[in-house]
Amino acid sequence: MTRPLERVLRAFLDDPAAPRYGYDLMKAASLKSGTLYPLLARLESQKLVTSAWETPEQEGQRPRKYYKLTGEGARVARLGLAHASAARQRASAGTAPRARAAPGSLG
Amino acid sequence: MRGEGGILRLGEYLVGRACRGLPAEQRDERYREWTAELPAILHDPGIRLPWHRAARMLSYAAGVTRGTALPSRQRMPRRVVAVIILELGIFASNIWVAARSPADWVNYMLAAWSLILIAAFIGVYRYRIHRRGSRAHAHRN
Repeated sequence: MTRPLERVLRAFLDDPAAPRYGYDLMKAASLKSGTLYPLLARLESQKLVTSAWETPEQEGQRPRKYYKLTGEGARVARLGLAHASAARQRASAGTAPRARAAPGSLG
Repeated sequence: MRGEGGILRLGEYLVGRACRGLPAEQRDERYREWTAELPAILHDPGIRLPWHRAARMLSYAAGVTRGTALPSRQRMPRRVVAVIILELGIFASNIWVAARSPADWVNYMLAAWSLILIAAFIGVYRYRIHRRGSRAHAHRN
């Protein structure tokens, strides 16, 4: 799992039920828009994240698109983050070779 | 904030440019999504200084351009870029020589000729890319 993906998943998992806008995720994950949106598109195509358009509160306000983790997305994210932190601990202890991404995992 | 409209329009322009690199079916939705974020960034209560908010907004718009950049196989190869730079250098030197001796019409001819050479080179390159793309498309179908 790459660091940017890890950050995005952590941002989502702060409140898995909360809808998150792209800009909010950018701030929470400290990522640039050019890194975040391709990641979101990938997560969405894997059905780990779902998106929807908000209903504008005021007239003339542009509706924003928000993203939410799906149930499966939350499960996979927790699992992926646990694996990533375990692999990092092993690597820092110098006891094991680098963990490889399993086929079908988040990579 | 003063000049907000202009900054927003600049952001929209950058997002519009970024969306040109996307497949047609994604373009509209992405444009709507990304331009809807621009006013939100420009009014972000978490950033105190207006110029900082404006810079953040423009950085966001420029960032999506980077995110939608063409994959490397669609970019100009370095070899082609090197030839174009070389030809531009020749053109610039011809202009410089022409400026030093304005009475000599041969220098103008050389400058015009080098400009035609650049245009022809880019034209041939684009034609070859287009033909390769058409062939690949025909092969897929």
